Amino acid sequence: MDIFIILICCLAALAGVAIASVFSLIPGLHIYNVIAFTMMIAFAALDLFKTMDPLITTCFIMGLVVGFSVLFTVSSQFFQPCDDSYRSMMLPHERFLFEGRGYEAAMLSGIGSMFALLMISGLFPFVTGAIGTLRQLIRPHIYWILGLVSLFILMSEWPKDHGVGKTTGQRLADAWVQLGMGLFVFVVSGILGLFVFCNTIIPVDNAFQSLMPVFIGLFAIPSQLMTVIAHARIPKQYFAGSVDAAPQDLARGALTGTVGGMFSSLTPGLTPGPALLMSAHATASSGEKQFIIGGGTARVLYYIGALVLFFMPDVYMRRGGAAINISLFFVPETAEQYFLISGIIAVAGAASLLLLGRYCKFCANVTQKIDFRWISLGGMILLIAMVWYVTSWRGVVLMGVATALGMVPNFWHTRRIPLLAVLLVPVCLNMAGVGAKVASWFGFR
Amino acid sequence: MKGITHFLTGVATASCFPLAIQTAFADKSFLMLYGGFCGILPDTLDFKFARYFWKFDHIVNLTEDNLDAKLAAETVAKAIDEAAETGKPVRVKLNVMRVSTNYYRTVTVQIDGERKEVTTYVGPLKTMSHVMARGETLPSDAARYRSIAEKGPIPVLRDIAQKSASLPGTIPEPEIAHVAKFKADVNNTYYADTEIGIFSGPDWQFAKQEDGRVRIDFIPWHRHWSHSITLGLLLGPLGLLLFGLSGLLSGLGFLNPFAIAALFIGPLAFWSHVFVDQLGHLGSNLYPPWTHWRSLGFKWSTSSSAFGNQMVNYISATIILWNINAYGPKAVFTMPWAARIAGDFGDPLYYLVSLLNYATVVVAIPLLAAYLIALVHRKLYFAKRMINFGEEDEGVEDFGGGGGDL
Repeated sequence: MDIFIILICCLAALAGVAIASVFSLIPGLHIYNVIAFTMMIAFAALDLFKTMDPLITTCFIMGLVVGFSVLFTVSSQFFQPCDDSYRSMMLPHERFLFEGRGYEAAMLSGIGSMFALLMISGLFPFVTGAIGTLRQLIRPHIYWILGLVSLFILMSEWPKDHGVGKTTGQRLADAWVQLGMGLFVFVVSGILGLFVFCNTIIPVDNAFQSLMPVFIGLFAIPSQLMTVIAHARIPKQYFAGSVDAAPQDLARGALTGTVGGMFSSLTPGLTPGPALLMSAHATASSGEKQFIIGGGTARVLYYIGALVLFFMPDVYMRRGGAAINISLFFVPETAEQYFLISGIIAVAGAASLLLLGRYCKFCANVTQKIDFRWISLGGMILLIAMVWYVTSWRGVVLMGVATALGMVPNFWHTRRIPLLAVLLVPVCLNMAGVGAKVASWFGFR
Repeated sequence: MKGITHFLTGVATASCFPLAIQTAFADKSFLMLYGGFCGILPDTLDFKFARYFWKFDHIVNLTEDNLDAKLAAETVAKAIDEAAETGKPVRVKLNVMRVSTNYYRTVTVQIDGERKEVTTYVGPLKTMSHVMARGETLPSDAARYRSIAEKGPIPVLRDIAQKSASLPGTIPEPEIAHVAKFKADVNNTYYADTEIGIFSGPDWQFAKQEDGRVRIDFIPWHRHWSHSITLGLLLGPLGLLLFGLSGLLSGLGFLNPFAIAALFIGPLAFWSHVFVDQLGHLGSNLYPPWTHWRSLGFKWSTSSSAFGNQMVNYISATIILWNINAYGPKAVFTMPWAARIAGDFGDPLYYLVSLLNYATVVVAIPLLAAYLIALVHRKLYFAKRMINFGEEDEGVEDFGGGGGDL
């Protein structure tokens, strides 16, 4: 391969990291939305786009994904403090922020990301055969695997009441209000997912973005709304010179993240949230540091690991929005290309990790100068404008419905994970061959 | 064991039925889900239903304004003696103290059958993570009792409170602790201590045994009829009904092959949960209504043990992958030991040699390696992390941790 092309690819990837770092400042904005914009721009300037080697654009997108997967949680962590009156419990990184340890949490997550990047760049090239075999094995069974994930989401939500009601009825009600709302969210999200999969109301030109308003409505807008109305104060953050984590926290956190990340990257329709939930239980993850490290590992393995499967000999699996967009103009053919991509990931990953410390300090300092509510309000307006631009008013209506549903977990203290039924249910049912039949029961077909 | 561990053993059990795997290539039935459902069902029944029907004789509500260690200790001690005197079961619950979204006030409750003492020590504020990780740093029971004999119970609980992870500087000063005496002989089926911490409880039942001792059952509503061989039998007809009705709707008829398979998968997956639970401390009531007590577990592991859960989950995952490969229409991988044997997984000799190869290379060797790593890790590092009272050897053989057994 021409050294010049390799250098250009590296520069393109670094440019991708730089752009991702800017967009990652907007809490709730997803990199697939940015990639979709990139593709719209690329197709708008088709003459220029056609003259470029597709590998360069591929590496640019790879840089975007790598930069985003390492950095995107930083802004939501610093700019979206949770109001504890809307939560049954705070996640460790949320609590760290209120203890002035947001930087520590971000660096622990960065260590988890580093584990994943080392695995993807350093280990994956030697185990492509094993990954290919695993992929071949589970491929026909995805429908019941997704069914199992859904079932586990429902059955693993334990009551968070304190059992202090005076009568059996009171105690049952205390427990089942929360459990019942989790079930409600799961069922309604599943129905919404079936509707979107069967009857998109998005204009045909951008129908490939029909999930965008749904996901923004279910997850991004409710988070921003809750931040805007939050009663919270972010204390001055402390920037530690070193990380306090025991070797076993690093090892067990990385193990949890690896299991969750690999599971989600190899299973279509599965996102890292439920996969990490299951892997944290399966590996008996313990303590807040293992939780944060595991999250960093799983996220990177999901976003980058899943994308790299597209280039991997023995696998060539198109998984996730980035791979789908790349497949529009590039078809991987050789092991050489895969090795180049692995190297590009290492370069982009190193750049992202080097950026992480300063990035956190920047975000932490911003919280002391700008009210976080304004940042979320701005982010929310931007997202709504983006949904309007890409999917017209119909997308905004869809987003509104999804937002109403996305608010439910906040008010009823259930987990947000049942919202993912929007993806799990239709994909599972369609793979089982009964999606159309079930959709017809609801009048969607 | 953890919920997912039971879930996966249920799925692994279902995967042993060829039809559950082969359906993925044709009819796409959900037999594997039924295995997972039955695998986790016993805990669902207990934690989402049974515990709310349990009635307590004494409930203690401590608050941040009234951290009355004496009240808690005396209530537990008196309940033990009350059970001995009246011969009737006495149930006690100590409610948790949540002081904010993140923090819980903790109180350690230690029941020492040898000294006939209940000791309570008001500890620090803890997060949920702190409470759940407590078991990983607890000393062994032997070390604890040696230290109690030397220093008395309150200094021991003080050490544990100070050395376990918590919000710094939140142990009340002056310290709040109390030792209450009881008279009865007891049979404690659980750990030496437990903590008023997160979720709800803790709670106990004290009941007089035939030998006159008072048996102490921690979370007495757990692992009774819901974790029995008897109830498991009902999961067969339930599976038959569910898959039978589904068969009627899809034109396969009621007594279709999936319904017949579900008739067996249900009980076996349910019993896999019961079996795995016997590896812990609590055991379960196996044959109600004919039996009334929880059996005692083998005490090999606990529900929070990382090693125990990881190993059982690994075995379940390897069983599932093996069955997926062996029962599929075309094997994705073949095992080297069977390379010179004619045939495929349908031939018994080929199957057994392949299975032996798989069990050795994919299951036994990695498990042995993991065990050795855990052993070395525990010797070199984990023992140092545990709270110790100056003894040289804290017992490296215990892979369970003291984290409790739910």
